[in-house]
Amino acid sequence: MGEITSTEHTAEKVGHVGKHYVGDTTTILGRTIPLPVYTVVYIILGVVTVLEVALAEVFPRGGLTIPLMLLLSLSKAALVVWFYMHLNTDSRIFAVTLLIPVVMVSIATLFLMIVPVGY
Amino acid sequence: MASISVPVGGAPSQSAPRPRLRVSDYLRWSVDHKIIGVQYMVTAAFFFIVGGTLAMLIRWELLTPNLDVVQTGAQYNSLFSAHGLVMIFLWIIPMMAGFGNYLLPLMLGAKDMAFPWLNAFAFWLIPPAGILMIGSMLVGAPEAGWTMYPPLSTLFSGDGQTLAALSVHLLGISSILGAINFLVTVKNMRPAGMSYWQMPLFVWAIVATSIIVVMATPFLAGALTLLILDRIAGTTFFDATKGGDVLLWQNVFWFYSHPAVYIMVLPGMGILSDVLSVHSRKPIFGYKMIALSSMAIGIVGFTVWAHHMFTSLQPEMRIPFMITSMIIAVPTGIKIFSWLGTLWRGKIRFTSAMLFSLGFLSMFVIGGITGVMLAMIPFNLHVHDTYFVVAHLHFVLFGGSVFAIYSGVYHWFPKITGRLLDERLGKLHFALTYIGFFFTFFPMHFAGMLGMPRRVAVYMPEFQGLNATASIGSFVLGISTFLLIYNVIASLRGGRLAGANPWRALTLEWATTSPPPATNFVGEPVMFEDPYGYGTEGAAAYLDAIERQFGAPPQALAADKPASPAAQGASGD
Amino acid sequence: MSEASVQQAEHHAAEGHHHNPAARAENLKFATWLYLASEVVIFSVLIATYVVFRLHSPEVVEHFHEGLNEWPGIWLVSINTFILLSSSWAMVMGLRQIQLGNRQGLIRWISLTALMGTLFVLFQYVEYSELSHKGITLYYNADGTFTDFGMRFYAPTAFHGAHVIVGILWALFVVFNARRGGYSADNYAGVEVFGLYWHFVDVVWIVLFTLIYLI
Repeated sequence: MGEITSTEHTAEKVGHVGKHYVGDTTTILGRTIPLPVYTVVYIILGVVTVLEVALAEVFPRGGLTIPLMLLLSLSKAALVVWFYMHLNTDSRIFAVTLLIPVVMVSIATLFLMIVPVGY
Repeated sequence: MASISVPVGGAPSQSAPRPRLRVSDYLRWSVDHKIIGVQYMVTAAFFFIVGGTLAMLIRWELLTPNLDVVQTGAQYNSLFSAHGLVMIFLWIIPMMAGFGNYLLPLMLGAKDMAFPWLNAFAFWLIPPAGILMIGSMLVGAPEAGWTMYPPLSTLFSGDGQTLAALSVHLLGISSILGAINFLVTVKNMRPAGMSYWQMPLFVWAIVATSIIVVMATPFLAGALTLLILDRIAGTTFFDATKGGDVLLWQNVFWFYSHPAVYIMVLPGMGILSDVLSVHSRKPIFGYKMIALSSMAIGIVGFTVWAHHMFTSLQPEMRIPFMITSMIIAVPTGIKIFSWLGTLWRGKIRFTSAMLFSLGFLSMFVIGGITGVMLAMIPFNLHVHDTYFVVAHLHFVLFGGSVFAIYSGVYHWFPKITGRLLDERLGKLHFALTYIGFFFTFFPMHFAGMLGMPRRVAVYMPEFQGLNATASIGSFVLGISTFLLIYNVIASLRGGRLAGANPWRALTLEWATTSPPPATNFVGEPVMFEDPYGYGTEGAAAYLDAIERQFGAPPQALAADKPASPAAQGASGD
Repeated sequence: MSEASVQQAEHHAAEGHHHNPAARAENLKFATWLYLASEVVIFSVLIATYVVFRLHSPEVVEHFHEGLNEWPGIWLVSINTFILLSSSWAMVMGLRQIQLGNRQGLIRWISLTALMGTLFVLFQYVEYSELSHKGITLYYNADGTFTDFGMRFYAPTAFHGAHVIVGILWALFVVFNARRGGYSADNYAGVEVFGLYWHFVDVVWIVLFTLIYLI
């Protein structure tokens, strides 16, 4: 994700907190695309969704299907959180605020998956 | 230290508007954190009396091995269920929130919380929740204990169980909103120049507590949602005969409720850190360690929940939880030893606030040790769900949280009302509480070890001696509460005037009039560099400057102070 | 102190410590993140309930997935997912417009967000009624046995749907505010925190869609 950066030329970098424009173009893997970074992310999200549905419905299932789908889903979530929810430019504390419960509930869910059920 | 000779904003104290608040000001919607704080405390105290009355009924019933106060076991079930729910969700947690609300902005030199309206909203969720809770006792009372384990809570309890669940739901939302407010206030509204490491330890405790509230309470909300669905929508999440899973409740409930134990005790530990340092005139020992151990308790507290389920968990899963449960005693021990280090060679003033803090120290250590005992699997299997557990939890919740609350009441009552509580009555209150508490709960250890199960109205006759002792102790405890109530009412009317800073404390809430004006401070308050820097010349100069600015406490208090300015200088107040 | 002056003082206090919009924006955003952190946990309880079931009773879930093969089935849900993703995109584009000072652009994009949110809820309703025609309800499975799937499926998806409905109302409120001249290039925290909420709801759906419909 570090490869995608917003090229900020519509607005000067503004000093005070929480103000970060997204420019009209996006630099991805060294190439500049004439679309705002939000739109680029949107396109990626759409493509990944199609890929996921194809994995589930079209291709035959293998041992890697489920981990792969989980990975794709998580990367979609990460893209939204990182670019749309501005964790890429906002305070680190916000990221920590999100990460703590995510890690905690993941551990708790894993625990619930280990213990036997049904009694 | 001439630079701190004028510690507080330039405006003279005469111009500070002294609020004269009437009772009606506390009965209406207000966004002033000081009014909201008092609203929290008074509401919580009301429910303390409700829960205390239920406790007295429980102990009266247990005076003899047979049914006498209640007619059926089911009635006894509803007594202890309501007692637990009220005491935990409507007394201790709101009371701590009340202290937080009143003190946090003052300690941070702020005019109010970050979101005053949200603050008021969070409080006003409590009265309806309280009405629901009391209503639940009238329409087929909940009988599943405060832990609400299904299938007791889904298939057997009356309609009141649904109301109680809704009530706890509301209280959960209230505490989450309150905690968000606390965290934003601490992060963004500290005065210029106050780093995180210069905050009073009470603020640190509130930070740790609020993190736990935000991260843990939703577990309870989720579980309660499923429980309510099971009860009113006919789903079967917790019904094993219809595809549900009973243990799911226990797991999710304790995901919340074990951290919730620290929600109840961490603010108390914060109160203790402030009170012990002020009343022994010494810097707190190990400031950073106390602050960090609050955080450590908060984190480790999330990893120990299954020690409540040692009898229902498969054996190999128990060991990790035994280990984490014992580890959590380490940060707690760090705190205990830091407090002892604070007291060591201090100039201890045995005020009522100090006495209750010392009471916390002694009783909480017992509760902590029994906690480690309970973490040991073989011992736990032996005393699981016996009176040993009841003894343990009351030693940490009453001997811990409630003693700390009492201590905080004696310590901050002068700031809140401008008048001191009567010290002689306070000491009597302490003595009766301490003795009554000890004789109520200590015998329960023996009853539990001998095998008396908890949550029973009828027990074997050989336990009567222990139970009668506990009951008589509890009546003393009950009576002692009225001393505090009388003391509060009498002191409100005719207590000695406190002045701005009767204890000569360095934290910012004392650098304004008592009670503080509506905007808390006139001008920008100037903080002392170290909130616990007692015993330095700079501290003495700062405290003297506060007295010059806001007026010294009346002469009657002089006995609490060093005899002469010279002695004061020498002792480095 | 008279009643009036107490209220005056309270009014003063209610304005809080900070008067500048940047500090207020920081307060609002941090509070929103903390709120979302608690939402993560409450959703996780419902999700975990489903995941544990999926792990222990895969045959029931496979049966459900086979049922999705008939039209509209999985296609309806996939289109719905795409609609929600698009609404998130519309949301950030709206935020970008107000950051550039274009209030009309904000109104257009956020209205689009609300519209797509409404479509999502509508399609979810269609999907629910399709499923109940097939016999998958809160209480019974398709084969008439007691449900162990239905409740675990409906609880998280309906809870998410409720969040979308709240989000739609919030979006309409933002539009209403903007039409009254509410936001500007220097003051858009209200839009931003709505965005945080809306994207969070989107993220939850991204996870739910994969976990429930695909895996």
